[in-house]
Amino acid sequence: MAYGFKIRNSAGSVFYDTSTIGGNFLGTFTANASSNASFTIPHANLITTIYTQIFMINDLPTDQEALAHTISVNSGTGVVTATAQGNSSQSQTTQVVIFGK
Amino acid sequence: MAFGVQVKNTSGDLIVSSDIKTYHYVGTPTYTGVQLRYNNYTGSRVYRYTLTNSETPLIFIKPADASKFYAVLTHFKSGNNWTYDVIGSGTTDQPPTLYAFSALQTTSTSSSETYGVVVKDSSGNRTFDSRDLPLAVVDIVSAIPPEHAPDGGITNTSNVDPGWNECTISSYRSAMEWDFTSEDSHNDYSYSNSGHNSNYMFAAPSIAQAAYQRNAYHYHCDGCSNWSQADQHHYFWGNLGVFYRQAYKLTSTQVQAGWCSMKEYWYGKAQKTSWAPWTSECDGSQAFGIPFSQKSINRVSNSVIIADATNYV
Repeated sequence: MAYGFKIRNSAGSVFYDTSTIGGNFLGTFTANASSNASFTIPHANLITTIYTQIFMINDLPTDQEALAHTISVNSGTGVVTATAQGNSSQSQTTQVVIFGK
Repeated sequence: MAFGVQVKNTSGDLIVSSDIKTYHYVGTPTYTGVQLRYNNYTGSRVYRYTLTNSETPLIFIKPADASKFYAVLTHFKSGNNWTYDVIGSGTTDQPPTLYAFSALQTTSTSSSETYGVVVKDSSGNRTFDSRDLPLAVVDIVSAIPPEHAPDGGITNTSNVDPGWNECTISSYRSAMEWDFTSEDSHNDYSYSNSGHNSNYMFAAPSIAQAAYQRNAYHYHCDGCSNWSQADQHHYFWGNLGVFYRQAYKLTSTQVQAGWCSMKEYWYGKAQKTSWAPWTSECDGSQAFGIPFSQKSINRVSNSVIIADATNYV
């Protein structure tokens, strides 16, 4: 590696190598049911590709038409926006986790 | 940045920053048992786990069986107590092992190690600490399951006529069957797998849901065309629905985004009526109850995070 660093575990094996790491956590935020929310990624200019992962908090698994927020990403500004979907009985609290690589 | 640390990889992408709270290993959620067993079609199990953590954790699944689909189904939160239901395909109990990661919650490590790398933000809070096992991501892929969950495709909802079978509900049902299995309904994505081993794990929640149904109706009359015989009307009304949740299979080369059938809905009512003062019927006491049908919802590209659990065992 030309630069960066490696971390070894107690057995001496490398488990974290900045030259080969496949992605990095950038931030997370919660979008409450029926409400929109947004998050600005720090140093978005240093991220080539932004990935989002969403999951619903406290939704019931089978007995309703539960709708998560839809996510949009402005890669130029690094703003991730979550927009609520459906009516008040359908919209669920959504957790948004942001990664980049 | 006026101060702090930035670490980039050889492509110039940001890996570590004093402004970003890197995820670190929190622990392994405690497995508490099976919540639901569904044995029809592909079948599924819902496994429950608990974890206490003040931050919202990211949950990784290390499959118990590499041929099965898994996903985190629900994230229930009460204070700092988290309960996770994880769905797995199949008709046997094979709970996976979970690994939880979140931002560091304390200002100092409990590790006795006195070497490594620590990065702090402007408030003095740790954002990265090599002693607390930061998450080392192997790869990230965006994945979306196929639009229709059943291997038989979207169901035909036109009424089928199952004939008259008295109160033998299973005979009505057999006429309403469809290929509701879901092993073959998946989209496949390759990932960086050069170091693949059996400890590879993935973080991928089940967001998409799908429900499909079949409908049945039967009517015939005994005696309606015979003036010497009492009219006897025979009816059957039926609905069979299967509910699916999005799930993933991690093979040595691919992430497969597919579905798990996890529950079914049934309504069947057989009835005989006559001019005489009697009526008989069977079943039909329950409402069908399917929350929606003939579609998938929340079906969007969602990220699948892949890592190696070897580092956290």
